[in-house]
Formats: sequence, C-alpha cells, structure tokens
Amino acid sequence: MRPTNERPARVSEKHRLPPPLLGLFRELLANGVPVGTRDYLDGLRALRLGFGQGDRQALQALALALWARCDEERRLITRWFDGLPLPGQVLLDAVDDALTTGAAAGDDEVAGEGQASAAPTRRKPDGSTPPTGEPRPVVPPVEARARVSFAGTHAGGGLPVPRLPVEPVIGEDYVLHPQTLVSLRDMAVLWRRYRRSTRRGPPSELDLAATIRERCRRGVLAQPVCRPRRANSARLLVLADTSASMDPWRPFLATLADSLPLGRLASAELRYFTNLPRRHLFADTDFADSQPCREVLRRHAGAGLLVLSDAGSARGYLNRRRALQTAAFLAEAASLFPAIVWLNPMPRTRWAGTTAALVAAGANVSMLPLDAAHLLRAVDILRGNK
Amino acid sequence: MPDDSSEKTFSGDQSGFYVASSQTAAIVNLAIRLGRPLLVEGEAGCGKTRLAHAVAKELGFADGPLVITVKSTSQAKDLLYRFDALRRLQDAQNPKNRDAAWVYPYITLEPLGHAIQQGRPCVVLIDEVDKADIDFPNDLLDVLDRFEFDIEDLPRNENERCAKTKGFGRHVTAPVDGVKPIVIITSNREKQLPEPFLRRCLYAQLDFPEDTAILEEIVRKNLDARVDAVSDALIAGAVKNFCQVRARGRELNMQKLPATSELVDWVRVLHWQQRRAEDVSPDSLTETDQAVLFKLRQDIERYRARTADEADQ
Repeated sequence: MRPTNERPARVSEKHRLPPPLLGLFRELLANGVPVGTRDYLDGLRALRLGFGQGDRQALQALALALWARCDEERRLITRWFDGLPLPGQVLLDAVDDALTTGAAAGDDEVAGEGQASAAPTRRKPDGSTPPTGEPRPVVPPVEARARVSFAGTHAGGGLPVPRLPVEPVIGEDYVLHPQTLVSLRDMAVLWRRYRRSTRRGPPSELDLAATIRERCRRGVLAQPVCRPRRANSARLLVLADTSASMDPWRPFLATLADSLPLGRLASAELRYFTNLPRRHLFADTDFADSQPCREVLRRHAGAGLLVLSDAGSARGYLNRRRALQTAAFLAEAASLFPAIVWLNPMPRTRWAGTTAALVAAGANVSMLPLDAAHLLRAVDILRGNK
Repeated sequence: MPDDSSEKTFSGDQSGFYVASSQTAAIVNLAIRLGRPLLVEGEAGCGKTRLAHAVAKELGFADGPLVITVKSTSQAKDLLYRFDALRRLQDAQNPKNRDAAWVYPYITLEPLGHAIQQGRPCVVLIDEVDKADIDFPNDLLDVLDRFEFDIEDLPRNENERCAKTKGFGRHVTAPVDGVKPIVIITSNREKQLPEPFLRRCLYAQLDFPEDTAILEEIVRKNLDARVDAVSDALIAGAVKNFCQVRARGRELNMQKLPATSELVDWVRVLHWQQRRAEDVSPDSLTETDQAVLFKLRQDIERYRARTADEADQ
C-alpha cells in the first residue's frame, strides 16, 4: 500500500476518536511489555490492510500476533479483550434468545429447558427454576474456572509444584512464573565478559603479515603461514552451597549451571558443597561423584574462583567452628587462585556478626551481594580488575 | 522500498503438500504485508520448515525458498556475503593474474544478501536459528529491520568498480522498485532468543493439530504421488491409533512426542508392510512401529513398561 493511502484522514480535533486498540497498547506498556511506537503503528497499518476485521476474535488474533511474544503477554491481551463490554449485537441476540426461550417455556416447560441449555449464555443446568416469561439478566459467557500451575521451572529448581485437589471457582488462569535474578542469556553474556584472549592450539588462522614477509623474503610463496586462533583462556571454578539456607536461590544456581557451557570459557566447572567447602565437593545437588576438595582446587589452580554461599548469614549468628574452617579453606584457596569472589545472596545488613562479615573483612576475598550489578563487578574482579 | 507489490495471499492449503491452520495462514499474510520476518516455533516434526516451502509454492516462486541452514558456528555475515581470501592469495601467486590486486572479484553474495540485492519477491528460510551462537540473532537485527547491509571486507575505493562489474557496491540495498524478501525463521527453542529480536519478528506457534480430519488430510497430502494406493481406512485407523499413542506419550511425560512427520512415516511403513488398520493397536506396537514413532530410548522403555503394566491388569 502506498504511503499516501496510509495517512489518516484529517478529522477536526473535536470529533476525533481515539485510535483503535490504543487502550490495549497502553495496558501492555503499563504492564512493562517492551512494545514500541513502531509496533503500534504496524498494528494500525495491519488494520488498514484489512487484517483483524470482521469480529472481535479476529481483532484479538491480530493483537496477539503483533504484540504477544510469551504466555504472560498473551494472557494480558486475552484478559483485556475479556474485560470489554459485549458488543451491541451480541447483547441483543442474547436478550432475544432469552425472550424466545421464555416464551417457549410458557408453552412447554420441558422444551424450554432444552433450549435454555443450548442458549449462548451457557447457563449450566443446575436445577434452578425453569425460565419464566420475564427476560433474564444476560450473563456474559464466561466459565468460572481456575488453573494453578508453574510454568517450566528449571531442572533442580527445588521447589515442589503445588497442585490443587479441586478447582476453585475463579474466572482466571493463574500461572506462576519463576523469576530468576538474572536470565540465562544475561548470565551467558556475563561469562563472555570474563575473557583472557590468547593464541592456542593448532595453527589454523592465516597470518597475513607473516605470509607477506615470507613472500618478500623468498620471492615465491610455497604455502600461506598460519598461526593458532585466538581463544579465551579464562578458566573458572564455581563452588556453590546447596544447604537448606540456600534453597530460595536454587533456581539461580540451576540457571548458572546452564549458562556456564554457553560462556565460551576455556574451562568452567561447578561443584557443590553444604554450608562450607570441607573435605569433599560434589558434582550435583544430589551429592553425586564426590571428589576431594584439595584435588579440585589443585586441578583449577590459577583460574578464577567464585563461591556462592550465605556463609552463615541466613542463620544470623556466629558459629566459631564454621568461621575457623572457612578461614582455613580461604587461606588454602588464596594460595592457588589469583582472584576469589564470594557472592552472598543474603542482604548486606544480615552479614554482621556472622562468618560472612569475617569473610568480607578478609584481604584475599571480595564478598559481594548477589544481584545483576554485583555479578558484573564479580566478573571484573575475576578478570583481575581489583 | 515498498513492502510488497504482490497482492497474493497465502491460504494454507493450496500447495498440495501442506495444511496450515487459518490462524497460521493469517499470521503469514500479516508478516508478508507488513514486511516483517516471521519466527515459527513449535514441536519438532510439526512442519516448521515445510511452512516456508508451502508459502513459496503457493505464492508461485518456482525455485522454492532460499534455504539457509544455521550451524553452531554460523555468523550473521555468512548469510549476507562471502570473501574468498584464500583464492585471492592463490591468484596473487600468478603474476599474470591482475584480479588479485583487487578485493571485489572475491566477494560473492550469499542467499540472504542476494535476495536483498535482487529485490524480487522470494521466500528466505533461516532454519533452526537457535542452533547458532547467542550473538547471531542480535547481529541479524539490523539487516532484518532495514533489509540493507554493508560489505565490510570491501575497501571503500573499490566501491564503484564493484558496483560496475558485480551490480552491488559496499552498501547493498534493494533496487528502488524492489520488494522485501519474505523471511521465515524457524526455532526449536534450544536457546532463548533475545528480546529485541523477538520484537522485530511476527510470531507463529505451530501446534500439533488435534482434529483427526486435518491429520488425515496432512497424511494424504504427504504420501507422495501414490495416494490412491493407500486406503482411506488405513489412514483413518492409523490416525486414530496415533492419537492414542500420543495421548499416552503425553501422560508418560515423554521427551519427544511423535508429531506429524512421524505420523506420515508410520502410515508409509504400515502401507509397505501391507498391514491393515484393524491389526494395529497402541497396546501392541511392533519394533518397527516403535522405531518410527519414538526417538529416544527412555521414551520407548517408558512406553513398553506402561503397555506391559496395562496388559497385566
């Protein structure tokens, strides 16, 4: 369609109607859906091109196709359309139906009941009195139902999935979305900031300068000169606490585990412990494949070390034994790792008077709260920018 | 550039081998008319890739869609152009070869770049975009937004020379009266796609059709030419049994539920083995049936255990 046709007809300011679907669009914006002016203009263009015309369903389908990208957004749009008043014709039809049903019921009660259940109001045959001659208030065709479910939690998400034994009467779908601190994508991007680029491996990249040098030196070139490709040589060891006090952050740990292979690190390993790293470290949260702590640390010597634990700050008191053992562990780790970051998911105010405060005060370790900004800082420290 | 000069629409069932629901067809048409890329997601084997072929066929593009299969090492640049540095180096060895003094003879446009430069209506299929690295969709954003790009390997002083001999310069755009290609992108949701990329695309979700009549039509359209050789009773029986197998698979939480492509294969196999619809039942699937329908060992084992349990009861 030519741009000239797309220009809206000039109407005097007084009589101008609000543009179509603006209410829905504002609703989406208010709910934080990242749609832009361009998306809205595309909607108007689609309407002018004849999409979404006909009935309300078609319009809803258009809105869904244009603006919804996930279940939550789809639900928002559906809910907005459900909240609209019924169009005039549907109301009239419903009243007509109710009237004819009523008239028929006057003649024959049995036939009346049969028609009533077939009426578009979808009244349930609940044993109420048969309809009389009076028109009934029109009930909007909404079925009362509810469904509570959890949208795909991560493996190892830890929390049990609640199921309701019976369906309560609520006219709405509730889907609880697990909200991770940082999405998988952002985590992967974060790891990519942790780079130490060196040339390693077999020579597979053309070294242009060396090739030209060779050509100039010999006058003829037998074969191009190659050099190893640049690759990230940054290594990372993550030690994560899976004791009960860390349960709320299990989904985050699962995201972290998923994101490590996407980070393009030279090597990255995630090992688990409970409360504090003692003699053994485990390969997963079910404590499989235990390996001696010392061996794991030796294997990763020279890498960055990231520890994820509340360090006793969830309990809120100082356990002398725990503090001593933690100090011993950190002393050993400091001799092997150039950079150690300890991420503590508990708020900073809770650290005082626990092992966490002692760790935070230590010279070798930076203890940071667990959020997106501090994760970035953590990677900076691991890179060597202390 | 105008969005689309053709007034053709995609109806979903004219291609002879594909059946698209009316909603899917509407979204495809919307994407075509708005000139936006279409992102297609859905279970494996539900016809995401074939949708692009169906669109190309229905809109009358005889060559079919330009298929770009994404690999884990793919870069956005690979879709647009290729610079053959090695061949240039080889040519440079020959003092009589004057070409090697320039870069432009070694630059060729790749499918998407070619489609943009030609400006003729066509379908470009970017298959399995989620296989690529997570940066890949972001790098494509700008190209899919404006349908123009720069050839960064081409030195600026060769711009005019390249335009004269090859028909494109450093900055590649469609001709003035050209149209945007119809871009269809499929994803298996192996990786989360970036939000800005999702916003640029229109989105279609292909679900497994629950209606047996539609399933039968899909099977008939996909059984190659010898449709009449396969009896309607066999197709109807196979579809009915298949739906039961699928329902059971869903109860068992199978990782990979059999989808339409498995159904078509299964009907083919049943026909080859000259079995009748009455002989097939979800409780007594043969080894071949299981091999055709299920893709994972644990799925097969779960299914076997379940049918054995039911037989005991």
